[in-house]
Amino acid sequence: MILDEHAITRREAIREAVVAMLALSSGGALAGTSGCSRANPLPVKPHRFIDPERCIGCGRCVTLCPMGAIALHGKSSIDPDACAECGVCWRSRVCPQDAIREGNLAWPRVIREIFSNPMMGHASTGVLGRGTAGIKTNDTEGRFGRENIGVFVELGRPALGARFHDVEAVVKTFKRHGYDVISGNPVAELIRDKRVGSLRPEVLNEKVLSCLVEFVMPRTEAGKLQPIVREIERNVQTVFNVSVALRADTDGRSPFRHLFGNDARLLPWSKVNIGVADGISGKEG
Amino acid sequence: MSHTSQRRGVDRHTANRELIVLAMVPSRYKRDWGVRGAMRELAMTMLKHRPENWLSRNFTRLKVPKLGPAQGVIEFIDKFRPQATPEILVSLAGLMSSVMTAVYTDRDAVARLIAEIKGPWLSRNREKGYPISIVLSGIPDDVRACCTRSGVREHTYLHSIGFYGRVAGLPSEDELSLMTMCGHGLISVHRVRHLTGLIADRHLTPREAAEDIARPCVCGIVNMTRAADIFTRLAAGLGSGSPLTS
Repeated sequence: MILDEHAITRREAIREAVVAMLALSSGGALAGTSGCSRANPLPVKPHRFIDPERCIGCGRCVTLCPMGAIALHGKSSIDPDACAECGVCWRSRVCPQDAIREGNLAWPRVIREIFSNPMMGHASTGVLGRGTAGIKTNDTEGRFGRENIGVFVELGRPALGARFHDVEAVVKTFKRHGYDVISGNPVAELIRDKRVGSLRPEVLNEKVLSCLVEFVMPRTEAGKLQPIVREIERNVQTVFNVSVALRADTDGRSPFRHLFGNDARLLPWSKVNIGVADGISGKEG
Repeated sequence: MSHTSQRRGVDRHTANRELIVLAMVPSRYKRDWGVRGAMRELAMTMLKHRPENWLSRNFTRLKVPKLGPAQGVIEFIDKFRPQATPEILVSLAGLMSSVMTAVYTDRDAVARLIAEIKGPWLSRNREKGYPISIVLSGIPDDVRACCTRSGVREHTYLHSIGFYGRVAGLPSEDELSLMTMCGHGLISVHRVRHLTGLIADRHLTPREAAEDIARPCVCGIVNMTRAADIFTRLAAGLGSGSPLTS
């Protein structure tokens, strides 16, 4: 990038004008709301597909799909069962014939797009993504205090994807140990029977790129997490990762080793809210 | 949400090579024009400290339906005045999104950025009640160094305790290092392997391959410098000669 220091005033003015124009023309734009404008006025299938009349069989789209759902047999086609509706192929502009088409997604298929396409927002959270704001706004919203642990189980990433019967296995396992999915997590809206954690039956075979399920447990029960994870391992058909959210000690250090012990597995990478919004008494937006 | 917390191929041996800065305001504030202005100012500050990649960087190369007619305007500007495009894109992201992200390859730059954030921008936010949070993702030594140097203290941690379940079905560690650079899982292992083959056959440079896998990541958090290094390593294992250099 080149920042032209000498023309900053004129450029600032141009930028202000352009940004204002963009803001007016794009409405909610990047902020994200449920629903998605469709570029194709006449979708003809209930899932994403490649128009065989337009496809010239160049195969450029094939390797783009994170789920490996596109195959080339003379012409490219999308396997609707394997497709998670993430939109990578369509967004990429890779097709020289513009043959990749968005489908007319209905319930429950639409849930694939809601969970897999990062340009879609969840109505329950109001933000783009698969879960709540987690630790990102904890200095403002105080979800995680020094008495509890946030537990995040993400199924399907990387590479494999996940079906909701695997998600249900996670929800049920935590429920058996006394933990409910936190409100605000999109999965909470799919639970049919809160007593056991079963999901709506029509979503169970839907496939998503990844699905994040969130729980909170008291710090005094930290020792229960590993046995729960091992139990889930026996009951799911895909890969999953687990993260824990911890309010820092008063000196800024992580209490992870104190809570989980020196032998506990820990990736050498962490995500840290640095507290700059702490104490800002926000007005209601 | 886990997003940047599952990155592979980074540890204390790769210190000072990758730090992600994320800013976020609770969603109920995102329609407040004062908050939007503060986010845009922050976005421009983040750009000033020369990130490797940032949110919205790819929007001239992707279909982004929610931009509506604005996408055409951006592409028109990009065609005739490309040097103005980064500022417009990052400003747009700051203005319209409740999240702003950027990835840096120099922790000194991040420390300077955090120090700048702590100045008048944060004072104004405190006065006006704009609760914009800042999150750093990186190896613990880098995060600690940035916090210490800029005089802030860690508030809340998110630690990954690893992958479980059907891990035998996962790609190789180097491939995973590339794929986990996108927190939404949008980088395809098939694409990684295809590009590796092209590098090995000297049809593509590692940097071009890194740019290619960075494109689907709408958050702009792929570290293309590290990705190019990994592609070089992968292609060296496949090809007969050394890969092209970027």
